[in-house]
Amino acid sequence: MIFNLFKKELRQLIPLAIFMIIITVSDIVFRLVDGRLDAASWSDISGYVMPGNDSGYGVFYTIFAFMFAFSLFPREHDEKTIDFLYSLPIKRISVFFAKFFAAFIILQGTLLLGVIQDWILHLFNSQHFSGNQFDLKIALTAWFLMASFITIMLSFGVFLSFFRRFGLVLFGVYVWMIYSFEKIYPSFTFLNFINLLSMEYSGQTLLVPWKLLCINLLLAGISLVMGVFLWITPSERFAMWYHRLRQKRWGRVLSGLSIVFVIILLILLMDKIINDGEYSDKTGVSYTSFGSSTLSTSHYQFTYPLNLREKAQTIIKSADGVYEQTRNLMSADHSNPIIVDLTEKSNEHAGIAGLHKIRMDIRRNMDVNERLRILSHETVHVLALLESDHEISKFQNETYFFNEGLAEHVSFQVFPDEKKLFMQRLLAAAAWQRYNIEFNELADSSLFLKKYSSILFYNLGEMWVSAVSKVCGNESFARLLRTMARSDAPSDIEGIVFWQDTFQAMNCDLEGVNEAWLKELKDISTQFQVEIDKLPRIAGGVSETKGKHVILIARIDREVPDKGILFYVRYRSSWNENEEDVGIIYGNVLPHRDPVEIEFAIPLHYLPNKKFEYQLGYSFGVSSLPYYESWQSGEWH
Amino acid sequence: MNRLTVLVKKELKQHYIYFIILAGLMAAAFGMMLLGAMVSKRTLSLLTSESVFLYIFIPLGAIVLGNRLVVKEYYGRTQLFIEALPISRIEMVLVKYGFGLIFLLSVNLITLCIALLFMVSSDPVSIRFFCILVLRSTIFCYCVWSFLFAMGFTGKFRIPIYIFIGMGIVMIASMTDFDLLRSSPISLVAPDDFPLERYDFPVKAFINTLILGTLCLAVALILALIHEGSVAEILAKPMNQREKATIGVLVISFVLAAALMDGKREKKPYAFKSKSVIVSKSAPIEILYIHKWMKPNAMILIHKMEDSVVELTNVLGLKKMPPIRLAYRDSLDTDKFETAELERNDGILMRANFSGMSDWDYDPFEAYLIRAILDHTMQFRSRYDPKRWIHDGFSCWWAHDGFRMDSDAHKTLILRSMVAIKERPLTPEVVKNWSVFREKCGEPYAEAVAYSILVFLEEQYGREKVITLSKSILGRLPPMDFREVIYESDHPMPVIFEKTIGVRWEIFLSHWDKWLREMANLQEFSNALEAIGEVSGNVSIEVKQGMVRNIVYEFKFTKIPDAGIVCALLHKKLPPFDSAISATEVLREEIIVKDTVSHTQSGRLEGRYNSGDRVFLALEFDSDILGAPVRIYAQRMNLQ
Repeated sequence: MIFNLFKKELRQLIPLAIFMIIITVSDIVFRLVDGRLDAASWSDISGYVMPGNDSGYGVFYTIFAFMFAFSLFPREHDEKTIDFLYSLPIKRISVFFAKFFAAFIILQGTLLLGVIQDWILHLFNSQHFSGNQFDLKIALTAWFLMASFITIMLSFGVFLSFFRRFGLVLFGVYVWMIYSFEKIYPSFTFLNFINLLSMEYSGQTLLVPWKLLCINLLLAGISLVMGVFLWITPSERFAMWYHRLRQKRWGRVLSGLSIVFVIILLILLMDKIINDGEYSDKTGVSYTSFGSSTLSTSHYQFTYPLNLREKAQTIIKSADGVYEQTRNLMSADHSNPIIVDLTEKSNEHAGIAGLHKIRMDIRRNMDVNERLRILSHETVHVLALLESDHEISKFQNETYFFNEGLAEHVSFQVFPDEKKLFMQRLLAAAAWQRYNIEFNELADSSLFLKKYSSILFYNLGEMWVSAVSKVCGNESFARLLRTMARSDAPSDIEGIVFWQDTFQAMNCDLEGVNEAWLKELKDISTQFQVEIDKLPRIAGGVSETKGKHVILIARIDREVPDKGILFYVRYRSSWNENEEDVGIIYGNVLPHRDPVEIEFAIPLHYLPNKKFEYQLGYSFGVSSLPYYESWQSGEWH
Repeated sequence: MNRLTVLVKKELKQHYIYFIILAGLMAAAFGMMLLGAMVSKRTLSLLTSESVFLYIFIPLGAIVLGNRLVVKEYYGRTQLFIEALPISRIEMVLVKYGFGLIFLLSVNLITLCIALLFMVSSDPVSIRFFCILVLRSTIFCYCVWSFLFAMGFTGKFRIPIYIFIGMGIVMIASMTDFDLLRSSPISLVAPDDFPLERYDFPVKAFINTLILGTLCLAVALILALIHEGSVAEILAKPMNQREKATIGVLVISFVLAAALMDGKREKKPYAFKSKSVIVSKSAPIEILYIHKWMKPNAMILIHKMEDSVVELTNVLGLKKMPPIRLAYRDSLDTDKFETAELERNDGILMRANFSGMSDWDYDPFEAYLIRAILDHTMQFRSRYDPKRWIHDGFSCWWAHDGFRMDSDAHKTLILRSMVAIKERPLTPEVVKNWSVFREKCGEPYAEAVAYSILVFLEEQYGREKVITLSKSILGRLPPMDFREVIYESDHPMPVIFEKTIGVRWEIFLSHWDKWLREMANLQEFSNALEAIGEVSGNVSIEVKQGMVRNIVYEFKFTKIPDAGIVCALLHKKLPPFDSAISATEVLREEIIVKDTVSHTQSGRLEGRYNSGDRVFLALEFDSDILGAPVRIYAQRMNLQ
């Protein structure tokens, strides 16, 4: 009887199954008409095995799992056809699982069909490298992870389908909360089921994130149990109970109190998180107070903390002059007054800027000119945004280095500091020489940040902007920015093509600019080879896991001054992490080691995955830009 | 008025619990958004939270409200009871509309004020700024609610309409220059604008959004009131199978029609804009020489390129030559060339340093140029492994003007090919996996081997046969679909070779191998080979504490190497799936031989790689005789 019921459920899901199979096998048609199959690699065809978090597959599988889940119970209950099933001599739980497993089998079968189809498609390619990528172990592990993901989604779906379309809203809120919490507490990543599809590798071995998998399977199990409760308890009984509850005054009070309780809980949680955030920020020299004051000049409107009044005043009294010089150097139009928030507390940056607004951290002790240089730097960002009519922000991937380089270049002209500028250019030349950095990498910041530090956008960008002014003449910055904003600019160009097109539209040649830029880099690296050779290379890796820290030991390959050099490690859980989520830790020089060894202790809770990436670097003093090696991958146990 | 109060009371009584839950959820959502904005390291304004809240949660809330206030009522046909009362239909509809609008506006104003309260101590809020914010968010809420209220009356068609609108927006955005974030009504609450624009009222966006919202409201009223509400009543019934099928067909047709649409502004074709450009009259060639003093060199070069390109077109029967642009690049070594990334229709953009034209060796550049042209005309099919050797060989053969035993360049290439196959006999299987061979012996050596094959072919069967073979492989315009796969299965290398030359491929290769090895015994070549000497290399992995792995490499020379010779470790971290490695992606660690006593040179790359990394490692040493670094070791390995 159960088997017959199972067959009936399978039959009922046939239209959906056909739809899913058509979607899956349609890839064959696509592959035949668009591209040469004998040149397509297995990893090209089976995009899901590629390393990195691809939420596209997650969305796709979630939609399918929910389509199946939502077609299992709601309609049967709405149309009362479930009563016919309950009239059969089978337990209600058997009805439930017959339905669940019918959907489960179809979903897993179609998934397997897709994996097999991809294997068949890759057989056309007989080339050595791209044609030999198939690995049964990887294929099976990937299928296992995808199958687990779909099972989790199906279980969630069965539970959420009780709430009909409102369940989708609940799911959306759940996903959004996971992402929000993950951002604040990286260790919350174990709740993010999408990470199951991120496909992490150690060499050529696909890793299974067991902790993530187990926790999410557990949550899926709980959802399924709740689904069982909601669906096979006669829904009328549940609905009637709820209805009766609402009829009673104490029931209404209870409902209201529950909601209030949830809101208070969330507020308390919010308060705790904010307090934790402030605690972790207490590493600066001085702190902003609750009291603040505002002061307007012709071009700025400042807000500053009362206890840092003196520091603020030193900036404010010279601010208009800084604005005028900056604007003139950029040949930019006047802007409305810029809001400058000096109450910012950040250990990550000295300032940030957006439309009409700048935030600066003035807690640290710093030379006045350096502070004003930062103001000039941020003012450039504001003016660049206005001059380009926001296009510089729209094409951020292409213009990141230009935006920072322009700000550096102009601010160094407003407040010349030859020693610092020379050091920045030297670091740029060293990185260029050591890593063969090319312009097309700079022009694609996501690609660039995969390998290098964003610090290089500042110093390589500064030299590039300097080349622009040499090659394209007067007012080239403003012309370049306004050219970005031209009405006939194409919107779908990327990377170097964006720059080729923009320069072409302003009657200048990108090739000429790059020639001047590279010549300058080459000249510096030739002329100051001795200085570059003095810049040490730093390398190292995970040594051990001690307590709640991952210990990295790094070595430098040549002698450095005993004092004034600071060592850093930047870390991220994967290459596609946002730049703002990259952590940084200072290193301690270990005594009596030759060559010099530096120890870095990264708190484990910042590394939710065993695999992570790190970047070693150093700077000669707090105020100078650091030098970073390229990103390396590490693993802790 | 009394009637309206009754209606309001009825709605309140019917929906208050949902409104409370919805308000609670929206408050929690906003709290989380605010929290996110507070803890984010790069938040410019806390109003970002309000912006995100407005464009995500206000529409979600409006969907729920529309569902409760309109859809449920009409689906359950309970509106008939109200219609039976002495209340006009428009009053009933307007009460529902007003109810939802007031709810959304209240939530909006409360959340906006909370965000402003949190930020006011660090960000002054002028009356103008406040007015801009209130107007932006209010008009947005009005438009969103009007739209979703109207959707409520479309009953069974509302989900398909949502799908059509969603798909339409995505497709229009991907196929035209339409930018959703900059279009009304979304532009009013865009996160990079809403929290920061404090001076300008976006009047145009206000007007557009108000018109859109009013149109939606009008649609809602028409649907609700037309034919005494019977349209809304009919629409509220569930869809039948025919309607579902029709919707399915419409969706598929829509997708197909949208796929044919391409309304994006086209990028202008790539062009040099500088005045320092020379344009060829006989071939599609331009040279950007950048510096005035480079113009004479550019003039000489363009004539050479014209000859090469015109002759190549005629010999291979190429139907259309792409535009070829060459830019001067001082930072490049004179024997290194680059091809820049361009859109496919923009042709080829190359870079070279042709500063010392008098003693500049044009042949390697010409070989590079030909490879780039063939890559372009064949849409990179020229790099298909089983036939890639001819791409390498023909370009060199053509550039070096075929078989000329007396030229130095020819001798060097032959010598390189002797070195390359000394340890690795070239079988048809090796040729089939040409990328592996290139990786094992290095690109200059693989090119030399391919060149020597064509030289032998010319010597044995004449120049015409070389051209016939090359034309049959490189003179095609291979389609970018399955037809090429079928063609390839019918025309593999051995078949094409036998068809054009009349000899079996493997027999020819064995003859060539014999010819080359015999030539290696000639005095001139054997002396050179002896001068190069035997060099072997070894790489080992040193396990350090934890996950750190050092790479220890060693060169063993049979003869003590001269001072100044550069030995290098080439390394690159590899992804889990293999593909061919480009020479520009590989990093180099160099050792310069200083003492001339030792037979071995060794180095160590510390801490760059860890256990679990997959790396490519190769060892090379410079050779003046061969004119290119000799690769003695190449391996891909997983570090354990």
